Amino acid sequence: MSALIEFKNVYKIYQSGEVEIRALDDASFTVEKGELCVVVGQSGAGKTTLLNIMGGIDRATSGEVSLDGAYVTDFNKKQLTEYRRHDIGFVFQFYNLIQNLTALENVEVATEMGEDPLDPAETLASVGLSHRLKNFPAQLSGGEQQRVAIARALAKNPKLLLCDEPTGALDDETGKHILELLTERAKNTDMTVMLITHNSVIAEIANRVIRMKSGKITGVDTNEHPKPVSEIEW
Amino acid sequence: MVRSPTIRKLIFRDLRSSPGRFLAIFVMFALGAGFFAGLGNTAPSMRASADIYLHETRLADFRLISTYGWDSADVIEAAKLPGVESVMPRYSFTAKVARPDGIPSVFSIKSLPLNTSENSTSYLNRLVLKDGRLPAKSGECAVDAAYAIEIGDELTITDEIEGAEYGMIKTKTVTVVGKVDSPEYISYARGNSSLGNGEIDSFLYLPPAGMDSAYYTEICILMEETHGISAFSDAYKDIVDSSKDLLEDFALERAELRHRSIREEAEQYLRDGEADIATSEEELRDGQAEVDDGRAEANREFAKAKSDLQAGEQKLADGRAEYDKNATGLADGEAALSDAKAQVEQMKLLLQTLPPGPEHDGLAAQIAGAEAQIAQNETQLTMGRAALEEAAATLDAAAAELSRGWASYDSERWAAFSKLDDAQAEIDDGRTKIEDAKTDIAEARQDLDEMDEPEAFIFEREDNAAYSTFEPNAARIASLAATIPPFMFVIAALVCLTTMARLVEEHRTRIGTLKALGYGRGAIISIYLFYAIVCSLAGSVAGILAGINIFPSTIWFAYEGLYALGEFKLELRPAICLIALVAGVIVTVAATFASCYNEQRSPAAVLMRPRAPKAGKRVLLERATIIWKHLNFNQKVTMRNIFRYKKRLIMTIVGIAGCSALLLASFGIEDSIRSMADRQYEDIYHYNIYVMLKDDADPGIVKNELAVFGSRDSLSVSETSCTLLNGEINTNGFNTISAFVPEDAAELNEYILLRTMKGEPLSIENLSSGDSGAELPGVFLTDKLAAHMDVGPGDSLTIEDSDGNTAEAVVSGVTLNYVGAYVYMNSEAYENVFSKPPQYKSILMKLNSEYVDRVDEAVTEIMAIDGVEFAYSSSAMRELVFDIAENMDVVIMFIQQMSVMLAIVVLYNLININITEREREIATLKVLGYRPREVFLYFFSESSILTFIGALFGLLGGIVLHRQVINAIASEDASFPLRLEWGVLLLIAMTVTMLICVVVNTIMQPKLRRIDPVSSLKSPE
Ligand SMILES: Nc1ncnc2c1ncn2[C@@H]1O[C@H](COP(=O)(O)OP(=O)(O)O)[C@@H](O)[C@H]1O
Ligand SMILES: [Mg+2]
Repeated sequence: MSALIEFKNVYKIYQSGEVEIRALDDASFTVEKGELCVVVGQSGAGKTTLLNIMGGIDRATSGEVSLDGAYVTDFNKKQLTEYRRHDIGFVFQFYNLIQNLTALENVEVATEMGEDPLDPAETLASVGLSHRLKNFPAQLSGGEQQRVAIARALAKNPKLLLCDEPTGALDDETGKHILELLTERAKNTDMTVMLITHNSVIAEIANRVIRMKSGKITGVDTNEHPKPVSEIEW
Repeated sequence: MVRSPTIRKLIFRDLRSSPGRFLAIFVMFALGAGFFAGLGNTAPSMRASADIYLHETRLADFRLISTYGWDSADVIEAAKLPGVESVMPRYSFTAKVARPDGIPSVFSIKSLPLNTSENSTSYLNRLVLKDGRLPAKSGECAVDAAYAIEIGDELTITDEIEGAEYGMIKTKTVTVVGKVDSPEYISYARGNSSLGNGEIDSFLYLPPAGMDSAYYTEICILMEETHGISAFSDAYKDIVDSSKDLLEDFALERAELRHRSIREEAEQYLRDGEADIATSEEELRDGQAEVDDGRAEANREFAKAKSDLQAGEQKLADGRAEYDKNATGLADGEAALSDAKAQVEQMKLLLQTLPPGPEHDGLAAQIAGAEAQIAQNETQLTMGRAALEEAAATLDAAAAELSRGWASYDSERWAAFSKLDDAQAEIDDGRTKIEDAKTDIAEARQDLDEMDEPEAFIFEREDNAAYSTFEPNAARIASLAATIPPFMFVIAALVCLTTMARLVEEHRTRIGTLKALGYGRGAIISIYLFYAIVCSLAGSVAGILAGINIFPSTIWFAYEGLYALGEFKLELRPAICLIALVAGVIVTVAATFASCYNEQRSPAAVLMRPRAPKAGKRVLLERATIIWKHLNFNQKVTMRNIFRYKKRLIMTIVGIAGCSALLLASFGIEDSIRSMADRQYEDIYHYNIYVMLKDDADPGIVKNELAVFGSRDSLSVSETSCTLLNGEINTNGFNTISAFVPEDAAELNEYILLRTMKGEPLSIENLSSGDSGAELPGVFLTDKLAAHMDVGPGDSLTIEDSDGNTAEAVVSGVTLNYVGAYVYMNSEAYENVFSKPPQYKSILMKLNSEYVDRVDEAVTEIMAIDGVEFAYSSSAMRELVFDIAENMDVVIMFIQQMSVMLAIVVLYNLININITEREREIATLKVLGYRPREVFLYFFSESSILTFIGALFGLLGGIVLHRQVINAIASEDASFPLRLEWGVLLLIAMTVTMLICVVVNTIMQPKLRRIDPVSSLKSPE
């Protein structure tokens, strides 16, 4: 069985005047189904770019990206929308909840259109928010909001969950809870999780670690025995 | 304002970077200021253009007319009156004129002054030559440029003439040498006359050489003080009013003088005639005596001649008798002679037998003696015969002489007597003539004794119907200029407020940074003030420039169909433009302050941090669980979003409401204006023809003649002009108020439907007559009049007739009416108010089925009836009123276009702000996999619901605005219906508003599409 995700010689080049910025420079790697894959690198290394291209909200300049055999790089706009709709779950650094909707409704926004969604309330319960269903984002803490965001991504029951620095805006303790939630999901379901962090310590919890620098993949490590989140320290 | 060049640069970069924002404020203020300045300058420009035309053509302020005309002394005296600048005497009358094709038209005919040169001061009412030249000699004329006739064509003035004598025109057939516009005819209506169907079709001007008359029919007067004053100003009215008294006195005095001199002249003439008759009678008497003498003399002479002749006759007869006697004697003598001869022979025989002897001898002697005797007798007889023959000749001559004498006697006698007879006949003739002359003089004297007292009339420009409608039309536009634009400014303020609030919100961090850098509050506010003022001022200036260039001239050209007043001249009122600018700035400043104020209060540290997201809230609707449960998820989201930002919700609703109110109001105004004529002449007036009788006509006879046209008995009515007083309030501003009395009160509602504003019928029959004395006579007032007088049912007021007599009456009802001002009452009440019985001089009639489709023919035929002063059909009036009202259309069209544009800008701006504010939300939805259509609907459902709610409020507001505008544009005697087919109008206005919403949303779709899902990753602002 081939890899779930495959990046092949992917370039993302920003041309601003004379200067050429290679946000991705010949990136190639694979990720297996059900893995928790962490992308690490310094700020500006091209992690977000990589994730966006994977998530179908940005396009590569050249190269091939495929998910489960489908070539994302070949998709037209419409196909990209459908791809995001059905295959991808996104968790943002700043949660991006709709302020005007309750926690439950924020999840429903996603499930309303999914093909095989999970039950929103149950999903929220599974991230430990069964008692906050009717609260608005402003009434929730950052961690709780991020959990709602995760629930929103999970409820769509996507093939791939993409998280761009989900702990970036959270304090350590809360961040850990979020990470625990994500690792637990990756372990217990066949959902694949890609998680971005600039904190290399977090890499220890992953099945696979992709290291980046200046748009280049500097190394892909597989970790037979990832550490539980509770054991890491930063 | 903003001193730092860097900050200024920043502002201009802001302006450039968000053209949508700039445009929103720009367009709103351009519309508001443009509409205000444009409409505001329209009425002054209309008046100014008209004034220039009136000034250049030197239109007379007054026309003086007397029933006996004016002579040159009157003209000279008029010119000497204080305040009079110039006078122009002329002839003016109406006549039927036959065109080359023989079709007669009714023309108003006037004479030109002798000197029509540019610098002639006495050339008033100057013609504007459109083609050809002015008439110079008898047989030439200049004709109405609007009349279809060519230069060189001939017109024939017929003897169907009014206001002058046919003999005054030298040459009846005149050749058209010029086509002209006349300042006396600024509207296409040419006036009325009693000729033809009552309408004057056209006008023509004759040179003075074409007229032959000892007197003029009118004097045109131009006053000194009216120079340089607008004819539509109060100052002009004041001058005219004060001069009018003077002129009235003058005119009456001169008319009386003229009347007296005409009378004296006539009397002198009569006296001369009588003297002539006396002389003639004397002469006749002498003549008669002569004839009588002649006759006696002749008789005498001829009698003598006759007797002479008869004597001659006698003599002749005597002669004849003598002759006969002589002839007989002669014959006897001859017989005796023959006897004697025979005896002698016997004797001779005897002698022979007788012997000689004595006997013989005796015998012989005897024989000899006898023979001697016989010879002697024979001689004698011969002589006698000769004498007899001579006598016969003499007798014949005498007889011939005598018969000649008889003949000459006869002829002479005949000649003499026929001469005498002729003389007698002549005398008899003279007698008859004198008798005739005597009767003539007697009649003339009677006429002179019965000669009418002189009357003088003064007409001012206001009496020209076209002038009296021009000013209300201009005033109506001025009212619109005052009612609508403030509304637009409010909407502009709203747009400015939301836009600036959004800008300040976007600049939160920048404001914080600037504050941290040490910029003061004022300095920062001034940045945004500067920004907003730049946008709004640019808009106002552009709007004003466009407005003053588009509105006044376009409206003027639209009115050209109604008025011919020369060239358009833009009369700018700087004050109005300045008000538009200042209003724009004030509105902008206020709105910007309001939007900056809250932000400004927060300390820099708070501002630099991202704004805490606005907490979501349960909306009221959720409490209504039953409804909420039935909404699907998307509907719930929409509801939440709608009610999320109360401020934006209110802004949007108010903004849309404003636009749809304006839209509905403009549809309503259009409808009101267009339906006014129909409401008055079809819903209220149910008669077809209004007939006005001559003063001396017998209504009974005329009514009999009218019977062939009517479907039923016609209704006689009396119309008397009056004024109303209620404390300080009076009706001086009204053209005329008629006290209207039907002869048969029960019939009135068949012809004129009196109803209250609520539609309840009013009956004039049951009005109190005021007979008992305890109660006042009851009257019905037309609504606008009642409103003006500030009276309602039950209130009393004072009615004053034209002679200044006053009486109290009570208002028993207010009746719906649109055109004119009336006081309806029954005849008893009339008598109690005016202390005299009403004079029924007008007749309202409904045409029968034969004539009802041939109204114009009926009018012409009715006009031809003796005793009819004039007649008009209500359909013709309806058309006239409609045409005048219809000219408001172009203004209404502007309002409609404005409100559509406003709606577009408001919606565009609000949707635009909504989208930019929620870019992250949209990006997030896109990342979640929302399809473009779903994203569009997510927004569209929100804005369309808001638009719908806004439009609902707006439609309510529109009805109120409509009422306000209609009240503003109503003049004293013309108002417009408020009750309309609102259902249809609401539907149209709603549809248009929703359509605009769909269009704007569709326009915004690309903007939604362009939002990059990647932007969802940005940190919240
Ligand atoms: N829209 C853009 N235009 C130009 N350069 C960009 C753009 N987006 C990202 N980059 C550049 O691409 C590089 C990679 O950025 P990014 O993927 O966001 O890095 P990371 O997430 O690892 O911090 C950076 O150097 C950044 O400056
Ligand atoms: Mg990043």
